[in-house]
Amino acid sequence: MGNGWLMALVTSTLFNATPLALAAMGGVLSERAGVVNIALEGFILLGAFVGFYFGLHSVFMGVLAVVVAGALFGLLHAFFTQKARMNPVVSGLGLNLLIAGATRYLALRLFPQGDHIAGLSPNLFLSLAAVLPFLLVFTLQQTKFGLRLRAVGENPESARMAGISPILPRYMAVMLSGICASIAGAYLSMADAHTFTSDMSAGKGYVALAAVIFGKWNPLGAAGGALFFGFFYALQTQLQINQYHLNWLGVEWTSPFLLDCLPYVMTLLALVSVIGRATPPAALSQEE
Amino acid sequence: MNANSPPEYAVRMENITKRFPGVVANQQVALRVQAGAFHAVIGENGAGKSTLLNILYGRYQPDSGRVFLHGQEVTQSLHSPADAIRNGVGMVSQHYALIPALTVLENVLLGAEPTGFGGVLKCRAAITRIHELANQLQIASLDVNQRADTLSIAAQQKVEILKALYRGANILLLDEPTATLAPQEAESLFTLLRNLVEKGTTVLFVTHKLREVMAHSHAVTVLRAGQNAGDFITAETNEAELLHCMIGARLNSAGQPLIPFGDVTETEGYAGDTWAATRPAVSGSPLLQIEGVTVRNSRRVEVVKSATLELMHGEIVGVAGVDGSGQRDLAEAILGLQTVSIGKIFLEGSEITDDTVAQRYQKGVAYIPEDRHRSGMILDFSVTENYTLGHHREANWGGGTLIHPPIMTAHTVAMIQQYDVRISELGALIPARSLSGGNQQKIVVARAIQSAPKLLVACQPTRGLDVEAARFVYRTLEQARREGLGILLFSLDLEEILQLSDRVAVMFNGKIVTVLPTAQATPEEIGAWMTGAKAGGTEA
Repeated sequence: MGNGWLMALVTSTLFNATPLALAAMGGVLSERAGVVNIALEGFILLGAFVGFYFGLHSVFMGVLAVVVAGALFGLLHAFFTQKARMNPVVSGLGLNLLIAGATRYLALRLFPQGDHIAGLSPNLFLSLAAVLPFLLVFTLQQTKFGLRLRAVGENPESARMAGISPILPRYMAVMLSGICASIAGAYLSMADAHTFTSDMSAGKGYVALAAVIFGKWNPLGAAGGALFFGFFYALQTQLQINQYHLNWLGVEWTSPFLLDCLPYVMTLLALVSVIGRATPPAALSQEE
Repeated sequence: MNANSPPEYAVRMENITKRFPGVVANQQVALRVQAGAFHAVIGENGAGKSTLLNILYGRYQPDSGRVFLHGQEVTQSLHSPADAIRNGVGMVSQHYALIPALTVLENVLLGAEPTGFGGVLKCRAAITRIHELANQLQIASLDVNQRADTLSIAAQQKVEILKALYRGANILLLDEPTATLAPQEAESLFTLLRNLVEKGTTVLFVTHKLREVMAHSHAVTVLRAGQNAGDFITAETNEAELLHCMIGARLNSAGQPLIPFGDVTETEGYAGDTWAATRPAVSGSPLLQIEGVTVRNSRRVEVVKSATLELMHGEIVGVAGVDGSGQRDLAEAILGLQTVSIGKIFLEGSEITDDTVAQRYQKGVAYIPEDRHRSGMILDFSVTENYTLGHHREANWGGGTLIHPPIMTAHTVAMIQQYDVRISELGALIPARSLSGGNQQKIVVARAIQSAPKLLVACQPTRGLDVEAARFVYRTLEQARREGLGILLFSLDLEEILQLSDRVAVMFNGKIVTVLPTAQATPEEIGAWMTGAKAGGTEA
């Protein structure tokens, strides 16, 4: 116990925050471009599945497949919301359900015996999650792509008046968003569990979205949010590992079932506290 | 250019037809603008002016017709604003101006970004160029790293002009540029535009203010109901002729054109210049008292700062101010839509500061919201349902928990007849969306005054209406006022305020900076208060 426990908690926080931060960067990209993206959850699961399946052949194939699949499903979400004018929540929900069902079915068909892979080092993902927020801040603030992305996210009609077609920045943003989130999923299957299980995203996409709001749509803020929520995932795990017990008012508060709720309860509390103070990109709330 | 080509036109549009579902916005319209001219396009609301401008800027594609810029046909290549910008056309639009959350620099560069390796922005040269242009346009002390929404509307407009020039525009389009400006700001804008014209830019602006046209333009194209109604050289025409051309055959019994405030003299028994001027002085007990009211918005910024105002029974007080000076927040605070942070509001001596909206309605407050599409109506509800909204609790509408469709319909049919709402046979049941703006506004106004309220808060009651519909609103308000209604009239149209109000209150930066009797108020005087050029304590 003592210092060892603390170190374990810090390390665990970082690694729990890694997939959240990666997915949250996807959320920032999509939402700053004015496209609500609850499909992050599905994209994570997609990345986890594809990374594992192709990772069985070779790690390189796995990573390539994750990027391609993320981009394709991002493109699908962009197409549904931009071209087919579908409500982004409906499109995102549809994609989430589709991916959850399809991966569950395919996992049963393709590897019923529950294979394992050597996969990749978690440190690789951790480094990416540490660098990406800064890269994103630079891209959004200092590049032409970033400026156009923010412009179409704030007011697509004004952007059009300035001679920009909102289509390209939005497609790009949502595709990149898909890539980020599926890399987050690849972390879960290739670097953390070394296997794939159904629904292994377990709400991390939604928590990542909460981190985006918590961070006021700023990449660094969202990464901070990911750390914050990652801490409670880690705390919950550490409490369970150490078999800490707390009985109060006749409730076993340290029951694994209740502890599992901790990150989500904290998500709710954190969001309640930022409501009214966070200003989303203007076009997010204008979707008809 | 070959020998038989016409004189050089910067803009030539021929036989432009543009249909929207249910309306023909432009029908066989022609527009010819000489290079280097200061050209005005005028017409009533709904005459098709904005549509024509938007076609020229590539936002809409015409159903038929041809567009030439500097003698070159561009009909086939004008598919988006980007195409128009490439052809040297710039536009200052009425609604979609700068992006508030971006800086001035980002707004100007957007779509014309100078970039280096990897798409990284290279701003230094651009900033120098922007400062050059700002000097040329006499925009004092422009901070390019300022967020656009921290600028006044007038300054934002100038930045928009700068943005167009930065892209090398030689044809500048402006859609109702002075609609939300104080008189002095409008004057300064026209000075700037005249300078541009002298330097060779072609300026084309859309307006319905004849005074501006006469004072500044070289030539005028008049549109009426989507068609050409006449072309004039400004120096060879006059306001009356333009007005006649603009509104066409709609004349009153004396053969005079029908204008908003025009023929009240013989029909209503008024004489004199303004409606308000002919009224007896208002006396009696105060109807509405606003005492030191401060309103904070969701970011806790004070948007109304200790406003104090009094309104008598049967009085109209106009509230003037540059757009965004806190008028909407004050109006909503009186209605109960926004919370009053400090201060008190009294209706006939009893405090209503903490009442709910419904309680205020019960006590006799009524409201005409400024945006009939967003907050005035539910466009997909029927005319009947819209007319019922807010009255559904009242006893003569059936009261109780359930709504009573037969009663609602009966009330609505009576209203449709009384106010001459133009509507099909099934009228009361069709969605409000299918009505024209004028007819929608009739319903909003009728709904506000139908339960004989004591106080009416009217926000921009004639925005976007044609002359006939505006006249209807004015007459209805005047009628209700004579029956004792007190009206607080929030408007960006100074003429409207001066015509209707007994007194004028001016808001600047969230404060009521002055209250003047209309008889002592000139547009210049009010403009000086609106822009903060004059400042002082509040007087009653």
